[in-house]
Amino acid sequence: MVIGQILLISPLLLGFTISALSGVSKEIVDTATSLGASGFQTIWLVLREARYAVLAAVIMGFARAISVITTAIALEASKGDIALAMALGIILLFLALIINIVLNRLQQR
Amino acid sequence: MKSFSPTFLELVDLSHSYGQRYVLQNINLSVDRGDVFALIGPTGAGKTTLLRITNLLEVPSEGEIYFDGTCIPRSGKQRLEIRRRMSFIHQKPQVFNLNVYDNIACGLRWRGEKKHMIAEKVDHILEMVGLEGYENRNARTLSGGEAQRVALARSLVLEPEVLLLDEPTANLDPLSIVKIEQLISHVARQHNTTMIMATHDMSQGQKLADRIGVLLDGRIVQTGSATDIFHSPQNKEVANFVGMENIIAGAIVTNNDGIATVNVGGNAEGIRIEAVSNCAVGKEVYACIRPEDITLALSRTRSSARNSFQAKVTRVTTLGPLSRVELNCGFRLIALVTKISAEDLNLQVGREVYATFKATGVHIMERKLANDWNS
Repeated sequence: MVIGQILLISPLLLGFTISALSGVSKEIVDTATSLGASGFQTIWLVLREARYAVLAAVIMGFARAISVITTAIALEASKGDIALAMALGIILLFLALIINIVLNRLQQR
Repeated sequence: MKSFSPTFLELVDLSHSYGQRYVLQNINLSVDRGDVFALIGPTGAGKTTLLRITNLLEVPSEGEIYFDGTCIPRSGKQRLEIRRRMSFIHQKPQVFNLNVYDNIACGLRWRGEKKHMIAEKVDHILEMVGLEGYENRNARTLSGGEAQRVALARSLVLEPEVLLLDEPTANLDPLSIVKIEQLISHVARQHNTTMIMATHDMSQGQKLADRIGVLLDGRIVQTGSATDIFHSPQNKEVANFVGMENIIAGAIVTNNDGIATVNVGGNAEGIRIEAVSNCAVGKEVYACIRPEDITLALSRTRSSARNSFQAKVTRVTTLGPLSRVELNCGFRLIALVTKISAEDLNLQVGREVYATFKATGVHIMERKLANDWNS
């Protein structure tokens, strides 16, 4: 199950992260180098520059991962186990809410 | 071979090309410790590339760089160590998407400085650039002038031995320019920082630099003091670039103990200009006169000036506080006078005036030499 999830979201996560990092201009990299950053220090700075976009990519991946809960809800409901389907639905709602709150907090910083 | 050289920073036979196109050719440049060197030249001349190579951001196609006696290797860890002794302020200030404090502190953190030392230095530098109280503002929200000051502070806080500046005041308003220029000259004096500054603004080079190098088309055509460059350009290209608006072709007809007479009329009788020059009789030359060295009067003035010509005004344009007056006195002459005196003299097209300039105000350069870059 976990391996399946990883396989499912890793291309998505990778794709979005790459596009986020390539959004950081060459000048930023040059400026950091000029100010005496080593290779790793430059990479860390670029990650921080693109932090919101990287974060968005992570959220996106997470959203994709928890969307399988929807499938589970549909499955349980069709089996007639309405109680379990409702419980899963509430968990899904809470997860979505928590993620949104966290993301909002981070962006306001 | 050069390791005992007293020069602090030296570029030797440096050339750089992108693909087939050479952007820098045969650059030889040496800067002593504490010197402020200005590179002037039009956009696209290669100033930025030269600074990038000096900052070790790029490896030159050919040539060597000596820094404080050591020849810099083309790769390896030593490049970072040497780069950490300099700082480069890029043309467009790129502030990081962090607050002002973190922007300025990052160079010190990368060098592994202690936290309380960083706080102390950042506070001091913020005060120096006049950005106290800005610590927690996001640097991306600042105006152009403020961002440029953050970029400057970020470099100055490192107390670099060499400061490289690429057009430090491009795209700034006049007031910000004054502030930045004051900061630069303050730092240069106080910390004895070696500086190389690229600028296309000649007056800025004149104001701030000890020495000036003219970079045209990837070559350093002339280096010297501001007076050398502005009053005795080596060839026509430099003369054109430094605002030597009167470049008159002629030939030397007499030369008595360094006072040469130049015939600029084109025929045997001609029009004669007297100049201070050791140029031999018969030489084909250009007589160069800076437009601000010419005075205009309604009658022939009795002064020590050796050259006075009757002239007709052909055009007057206003340049802020100055008026640029085009004259015809047998040859074309351009004079810069204050707007007030242009009004007093009632300078209008067709007006007859006397144009006067000293023999010492005429710079003579040989015409054959003019196009020979390598001599």
